Amino acid sequence: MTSNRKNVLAALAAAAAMPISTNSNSLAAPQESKIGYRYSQYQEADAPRERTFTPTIERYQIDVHQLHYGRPITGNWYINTDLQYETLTGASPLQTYENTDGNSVLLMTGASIDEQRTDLRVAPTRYFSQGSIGGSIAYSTEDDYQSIALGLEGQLELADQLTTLHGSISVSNDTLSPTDAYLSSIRQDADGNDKRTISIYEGISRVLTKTSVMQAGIGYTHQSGYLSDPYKFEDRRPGQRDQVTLDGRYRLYFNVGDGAALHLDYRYYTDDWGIRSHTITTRWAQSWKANQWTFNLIPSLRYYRQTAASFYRLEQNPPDNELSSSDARLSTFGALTYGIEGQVKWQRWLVSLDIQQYDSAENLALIQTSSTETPALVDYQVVSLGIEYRY
Amino acid sequence: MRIGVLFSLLLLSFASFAGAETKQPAPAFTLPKLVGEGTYSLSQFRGQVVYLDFWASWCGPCRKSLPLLNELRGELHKQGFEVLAINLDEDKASGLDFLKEVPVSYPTLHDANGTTPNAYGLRGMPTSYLIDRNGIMRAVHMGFKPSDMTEIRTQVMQLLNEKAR
Amino acid sequence: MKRVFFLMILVLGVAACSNVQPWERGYLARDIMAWDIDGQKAAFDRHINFSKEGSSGGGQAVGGGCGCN
Repeated sequence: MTSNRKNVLAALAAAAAMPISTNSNSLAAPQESKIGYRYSQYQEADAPRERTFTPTIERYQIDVHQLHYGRPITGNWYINTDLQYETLTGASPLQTYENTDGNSVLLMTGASIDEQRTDLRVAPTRYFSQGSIGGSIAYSTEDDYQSIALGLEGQLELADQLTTLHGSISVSNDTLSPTDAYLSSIRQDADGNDKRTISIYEGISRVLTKTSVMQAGIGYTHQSGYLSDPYKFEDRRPGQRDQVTLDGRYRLYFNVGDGAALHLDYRYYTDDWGIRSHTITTRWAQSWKANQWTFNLIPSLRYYRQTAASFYRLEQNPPDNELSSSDARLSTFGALTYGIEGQVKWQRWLVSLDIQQYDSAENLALIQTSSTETPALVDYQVVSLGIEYRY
Repeated sequence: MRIGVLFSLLLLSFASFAGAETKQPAPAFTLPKLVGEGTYSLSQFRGQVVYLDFWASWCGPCRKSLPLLNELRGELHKQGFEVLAINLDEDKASGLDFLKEVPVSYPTLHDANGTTPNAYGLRGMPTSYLIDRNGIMRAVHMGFKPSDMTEIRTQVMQLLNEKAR
Repeated sequence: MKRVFFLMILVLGVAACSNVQPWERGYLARDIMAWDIDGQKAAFDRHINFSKEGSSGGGQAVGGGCGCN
């Protein structure tokens, strides 16, 4: 009895000296810092000579430099900074119209333009034991266009620790100042005008098995202001646009080589301009390891198809009081992207090379529409080299 | 005598009420060593202050925690502090590869079945349990960031000052 | 067509439920299993697609704009 009491008292004393503490630190905050640089060269194929009624057929070439820096900050914060700088040369479509023979005629801008754009984004995130909240501010500036965007996003892990809720909201304000405004009344009208966007996304992701995860989400975007293209002829678009997306993503792990993953992404898009689109992307990420080296090879295939906007028309002179646009990006078309990426990892370094080929065509839409040609549809190629260091 | 029994029972009930969560003995285990042949049992380390760390090669913060714990262990080992690291990779090779990059001098074990994390009620990776000289769990640390070392050091020093029964 | 697809996703989500323990997330933590294997490349691809096609969004709220023609 006496020794029993002594034991209990001793235990109590010990417990009193240091009570149990459950330190619920954030489980998710990354602790590694990361620096990354990526250089990409984007090259569009020439416009079709036999359909282009202006001398220039050379389209865009864009060089892009991306710089990324991410690091943890004391407490449970992490900050991501992204800087992008791109230079652009080339000509673009002015208008496409159908002539009396039923063929599409493409007019390109005369001189080749020379433009630069700089884009800076800063996004701090605060981590908690069950999730995170992040904010972002982004600023993009070029000769004829400025855009500022603010974003807020959050993640919440549910009690089962297998399901995560995602939510994000973004607002942006763009200001247009078309170059050589004296050249056309359209450009004058656009000068000083702005475009406002508000966008919301809600998603849910779930761990399905030890080897698979999925995510599904819904997004809504509302745009208002000057939404036409001031550099194109006969381009008069509505002053508002409502867009809805539904998307799903799936990842499945295979014990092939030193690990492989099948990626499957799908997005359905619809807006009140009449455009509806489907996008399917699939990838196979194959990994091999040797000593401290890791090699990843990731071939990918993307199929995209959209239907035309209700005001898409190929008349040379549509009535001035009616909506119209001959922008190929508002037509019915389909596109295929073939890509392959290779990554080499060694200790804290990562080097990657990515090549993509994008082909778009009217008949790739796989649905019967009108028989008009869209010579302004673009094919392009991207070659991209990235390097990353973690510490 | 009856009063003695009653009094003890009262104290015991107090103890379990006030410290139900503070008096859990750490669940026993015997696991194979990660490096080399043989096994380790928790009971082998009775009398020392043990920092039981559950880790895996895929756990990002572990890249920071292992070297820092190694440092602390080197400093306080003579006073009776030990770190036991249980690797939870399904495949031992992943754990061993990780140790090649981030070597440590304290005992590393392997549990591929999930029996030990289950017994300890592990809810996230990484998680560690601070066990006193008498085999009682005194603190739980979920997640890891380098600034946690201050608190861990304080707790370890405090437990080292307590005498074993 | 889209309704069928989303039903599939839901069924997949519910039917494939199995209790994955916190220490069994090793495969899911692999770099190749990430939603975006390379964040910079993913951002760049999104940017090109939004500039050259009539759709935008999917996966997150759309960010700021540009005069990308």
